[in-house]
Amino acid sequence: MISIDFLLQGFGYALNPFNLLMAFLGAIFGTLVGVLPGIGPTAGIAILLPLTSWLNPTPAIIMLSGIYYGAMYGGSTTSILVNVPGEVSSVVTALDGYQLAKQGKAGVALAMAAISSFVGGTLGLIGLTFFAPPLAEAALIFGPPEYFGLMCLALSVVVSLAGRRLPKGLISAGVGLFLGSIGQDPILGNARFTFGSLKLLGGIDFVAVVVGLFAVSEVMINAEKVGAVVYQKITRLYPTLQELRQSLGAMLRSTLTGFFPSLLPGCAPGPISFLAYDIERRFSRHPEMFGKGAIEGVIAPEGANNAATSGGFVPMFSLGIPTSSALAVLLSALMIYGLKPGPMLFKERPDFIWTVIASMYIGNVMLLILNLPLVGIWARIIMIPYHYLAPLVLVFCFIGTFSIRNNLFDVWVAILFGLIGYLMHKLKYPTAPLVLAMILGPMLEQSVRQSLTISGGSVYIFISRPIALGFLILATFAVILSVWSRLRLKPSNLPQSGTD
Amino acid sequence: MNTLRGIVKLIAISFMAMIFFLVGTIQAMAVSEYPTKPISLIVPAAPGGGMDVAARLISPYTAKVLGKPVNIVYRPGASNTIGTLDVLTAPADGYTLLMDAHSASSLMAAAIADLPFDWQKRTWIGRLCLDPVFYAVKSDSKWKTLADIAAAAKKNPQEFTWGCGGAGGISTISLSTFLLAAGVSLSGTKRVVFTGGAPALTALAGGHIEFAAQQASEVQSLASAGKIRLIATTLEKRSEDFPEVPTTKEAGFPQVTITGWQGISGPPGLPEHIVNVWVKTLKDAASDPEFLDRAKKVGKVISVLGPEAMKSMVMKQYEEYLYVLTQVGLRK
Repeated sequence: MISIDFLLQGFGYALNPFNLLMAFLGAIFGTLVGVLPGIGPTAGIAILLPLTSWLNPTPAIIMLSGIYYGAMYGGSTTSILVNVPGEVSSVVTALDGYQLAKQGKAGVALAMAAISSFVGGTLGLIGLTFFAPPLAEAALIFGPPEYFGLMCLALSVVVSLAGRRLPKGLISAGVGLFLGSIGQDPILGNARFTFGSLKLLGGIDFVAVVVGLFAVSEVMINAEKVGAVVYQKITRLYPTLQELRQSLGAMLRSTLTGFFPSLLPGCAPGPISFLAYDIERRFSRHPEMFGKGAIEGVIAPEGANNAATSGGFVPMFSLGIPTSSALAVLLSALMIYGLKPGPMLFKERPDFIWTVIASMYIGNVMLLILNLPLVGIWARIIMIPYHYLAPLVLVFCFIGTFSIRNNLFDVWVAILFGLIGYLMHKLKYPTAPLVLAMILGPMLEQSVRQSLTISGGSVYIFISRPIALGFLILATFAVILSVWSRLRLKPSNLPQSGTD
Repeated sequence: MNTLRGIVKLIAISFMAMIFFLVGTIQAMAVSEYPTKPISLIVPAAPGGGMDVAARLISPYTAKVLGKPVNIVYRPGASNTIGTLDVLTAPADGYTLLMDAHSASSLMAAAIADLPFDWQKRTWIGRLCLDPVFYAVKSDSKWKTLADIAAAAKKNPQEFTWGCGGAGGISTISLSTFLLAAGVSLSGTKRVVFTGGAPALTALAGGHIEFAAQQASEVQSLASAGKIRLIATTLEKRSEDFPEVPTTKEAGFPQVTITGWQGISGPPGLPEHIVNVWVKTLKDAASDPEFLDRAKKVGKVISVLGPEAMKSMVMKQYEEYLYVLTQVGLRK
């Protein structure tokens, strides 16, 4: 099915000026969309979808795909600079990225994020190019029990995120699980914890919570320290060659961690970035640095989420299964053109599909070239005196949060969680476990209930299926390992959480 | 004195006549000048779904015809209730309209027992299109017809695993109606609920569930890829994309004709001239070959109904769905 001829031919078409322009516009718009909290690639693609009336399919899909992976590049920028995650997938980047920015290493963080995104995205595309059909098939083996196993493994990351304060971290995670359950029961549809409010029936939007917990609370915390320096002076703008060489391992590992789970429907880049962060921490010689400004803490999620973006196209193009909401909108764009994803698409329209894939490689290169020089400009933003910067950040956050669902309720949620985040900081409760549990909770609940329905109530289903069992064993192992190493090490050597 | 009174009377009458004339003209102006600014079409669901596709079909067409932009605004949440309520409580000036569907009217009301608002209090404008439902099994399944499935489910309900894309959506009602018609006792079966059509169909393709039903746009890709097999469709006649798939009528279940649909509604008390503008636009779209072609590509069957017909269709559906959902105990 894949032939180098087709790919090369695709490059030929992709390099024509109009298609290049489309890729560039998509990448820029995607970056913008990624930077703004609240508007994600889903909304971005939906906004530009009407352009499909005027464009041919190839340039249109090139541009819309560009928005998707561009958003993964842009999301890290504000995460690092001002602790405002633009996307779910950038939440993890903020943990170490923002600490680095405060230490005057914003430039290094931004540059590494861009480079890691490029490596992850491109390697992921290579996976897409050569292995799409068999991978898509293999992904079908994943059913509810396997998802449950994977979600358990992802949730075990909570233990690392809790750092030194395991009990408080677990409480934080518990609160996150509770918050995730507010709204409609996913299986039966009845209301949970809504107190009769229609707004709460729609659930608490995750992005609003994150913006509140991370960004708004951070502004409040900094406002307290009147006159104190929030950001140290920028010492270096770019990483040294040695740093780059040392980071190669992290980049490759995160690519793998990001690419494979992204083949599964429902595994959007967000939760995957948490997993990549944790795996990197376990491989690191200085795990205690994670949360205090370890550069691997930026490389891992960024590489993983871009690899996941490329990986998400595998089931999309091979089987027409969108693994995230942004891809679902992209799928509807394909349908508007009458292009049905699947083996037929590769057979009947190789010119289209290979041109699009080729232009993704080009798009990633463009984004790298765009982002690296911009690092200097972005990094200088934080040199604005904090009493001007903080209100700007807040306005930016509130506009973004409103745009999630065009609903003022979400803005109130952000404000409320800003207060909660401030309190959590004062009481030394880590916020990252809450966030992770809130995303994963609903997914965990659905998969366990689906699995138990299929098995007729028997827990044996988790043991009888090897992949599910494998994940569960890994998860248990991961937890035991974390707790054991915590007990062994002296308190000062323990990994810190991000709210110190 | 008489002359003065006469003059006063004359002035008064002329003044009143002028007022009437002006008011009449303003009315006429308002009628002929809708719309004077962009219109917001609220989609009460997330982008990428069936309502979104229908909204994207009709909004550029209407914008061209009426000369003003028709902006799609997403307001998802709580099974379409949040967006729907927003429109139903908006000013009835024709600038905030609802992309209506079964999931924002008949099915929503049948599935949710304690809706905090009166869902019937709206101005029905028109139905645009149908979204036929396809029943599907895994491509290597031993079941070939609806009758096979009915027999298997009746024989061994404990092992029968069927999947729905969403707790109270079109797949739930389609599958429940079929199973009820087939005489299967639903409480003994295994109903697995997924968050949407795509995960449900993926699970079907992977063999984790045995039976599913989703709308045309959702089944298209997997069916073309040969991963799932379509067993029947709820259309009146066979689908052009899948001519080998029999209708439910042909397969022996004529009473199972659930289809999704999309249309336009507005807040209660919408002026008649605005309704007429939209009804005319919908009817013109239905006879425009280019529009029909675009609709076909995305799996929608254009079938326009005017306000009265739409309302009676919705009420009839509501009664049916209410009965089925209460029977199977899925009404919350």
